Amino acid sequence: MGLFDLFKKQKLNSADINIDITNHIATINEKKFAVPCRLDELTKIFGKARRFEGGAGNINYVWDELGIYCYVTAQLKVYCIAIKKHRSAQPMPFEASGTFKGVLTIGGENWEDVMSKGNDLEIARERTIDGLSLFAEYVDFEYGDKNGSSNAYTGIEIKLI
Amino acid sequence: MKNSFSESYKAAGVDVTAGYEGVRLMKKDVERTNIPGVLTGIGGFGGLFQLDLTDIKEPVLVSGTDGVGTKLKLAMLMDKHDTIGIDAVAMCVNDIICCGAKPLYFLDYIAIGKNVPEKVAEIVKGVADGCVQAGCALIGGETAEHPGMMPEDEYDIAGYSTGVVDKSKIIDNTKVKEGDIIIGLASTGVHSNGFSLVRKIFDINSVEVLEEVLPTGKTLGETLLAPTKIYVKPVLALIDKMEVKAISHITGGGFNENVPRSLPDGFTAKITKGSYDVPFIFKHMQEVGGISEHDMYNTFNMGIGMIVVVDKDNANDAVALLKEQGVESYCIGEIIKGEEGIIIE
Repeated sequence: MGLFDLFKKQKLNSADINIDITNHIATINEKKFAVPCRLDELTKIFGKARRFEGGAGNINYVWDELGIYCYVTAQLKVYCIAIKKHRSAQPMPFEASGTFKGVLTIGGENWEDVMSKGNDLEIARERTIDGLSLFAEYVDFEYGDKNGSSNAYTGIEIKLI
Repeated sequence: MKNSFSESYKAAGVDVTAGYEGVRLMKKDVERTNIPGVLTGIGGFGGLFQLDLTDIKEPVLVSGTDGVGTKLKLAMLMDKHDTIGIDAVAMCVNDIICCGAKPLYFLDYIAIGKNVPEKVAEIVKGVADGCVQAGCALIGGETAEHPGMMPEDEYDIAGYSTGVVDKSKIIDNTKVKEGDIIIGLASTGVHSNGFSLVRKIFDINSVEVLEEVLPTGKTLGETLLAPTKIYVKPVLALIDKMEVKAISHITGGGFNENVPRSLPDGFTAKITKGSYDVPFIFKHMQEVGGISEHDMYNTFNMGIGMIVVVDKDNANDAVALLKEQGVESYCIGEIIKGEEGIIIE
């Protein structure tokens, strides 16, 4: 490895990301911070994000290659974190175009297992747990990728209430 | 639930929260309409129904679609949405049984200015009630939010139904003969036709008009909003017991237009005035509106929601059977030869 390589920041791969959110404490690759958090807490870890401002008043910061995106207030406070597990059949500009290949746990439990205990809304599952509001759309609903794996969900939104 | 909704859907401009809250509320009502043959619950893309063709040699599917017209305006003014769904079902299934078919399933379409889950659930409860009365399953529906296309608190509803009948048992009026008896099945009121005229007669622009208490003890609103009678089970029971030669659903066009619809060319329905008591609401509308008798019979059912034609030897038994099935009915006339279609005298 050359001298300059020491200063070259390794590009983060989503497969190397390990996120846990428990009782409003996020642990991302062993770095802990309280959530809701400031946007810069996430950019320090994930790098620079694509900003999108939608017509519904939403402001999103998107890490396309990592499959992670978030919703922020005008004061850049992150109130909702989302990951994309499967590509959408009709991708929206506010969501990540790539997919998340890392590990996401909620309260230490795999997020898909957490969602399997949620309310079945016919198009998605919803669950409120420990001050977090979780929403995960089914893969076979029209906005999901029907060629996704047998796993149930396109991804998850974690709203920090 | 109110604190939990999809940011993505909100960002996409779609208020899915209201939609799936409505689905959750509707689920129980939909499930109680299930009959053998239903394969899926609500929420999928298509409703699946498996036909049971036991005792049916040549199945013929019979379908109908209809709305409830401007009766909706009364429901909206009165903010009472739990019976208009019965009307939507009735308008479809009462048509289907006219050829002797048994309705199997029903689907509804609701277009609404703003999706209020509780209101939609109330509407669908009425649809479910209608399906239970008809013995058919509610296997699907659509609630479409149309912001900007209609006022937020307004909606429209339409329905679609399919039934089945054995080809050899289709009631097609070919056996009608002179001397057959016309039996009129009592309506519950105006049913679902003629409401443009109703609203004009009473100048219904506000709920206050509908709060007038009639001599019957009911308000005008309660009387006019009374749900359409569903005749499916009584008529199918009648068909099971005796030969029914013709059936007419008294719908748009009123008594005059619909009674002759089920008769073959060359035959006329001779209706005997006074053979039954015309309900108060029709006399009241005629008086208040200054409407001629002819126009009343051309617009409204005049107290008869359906007619069946049977052999004169079966007429009394038919009336008795229908009464057992919960329908008041009357021998209101007979079939004669002629081209007039209908004579009332």
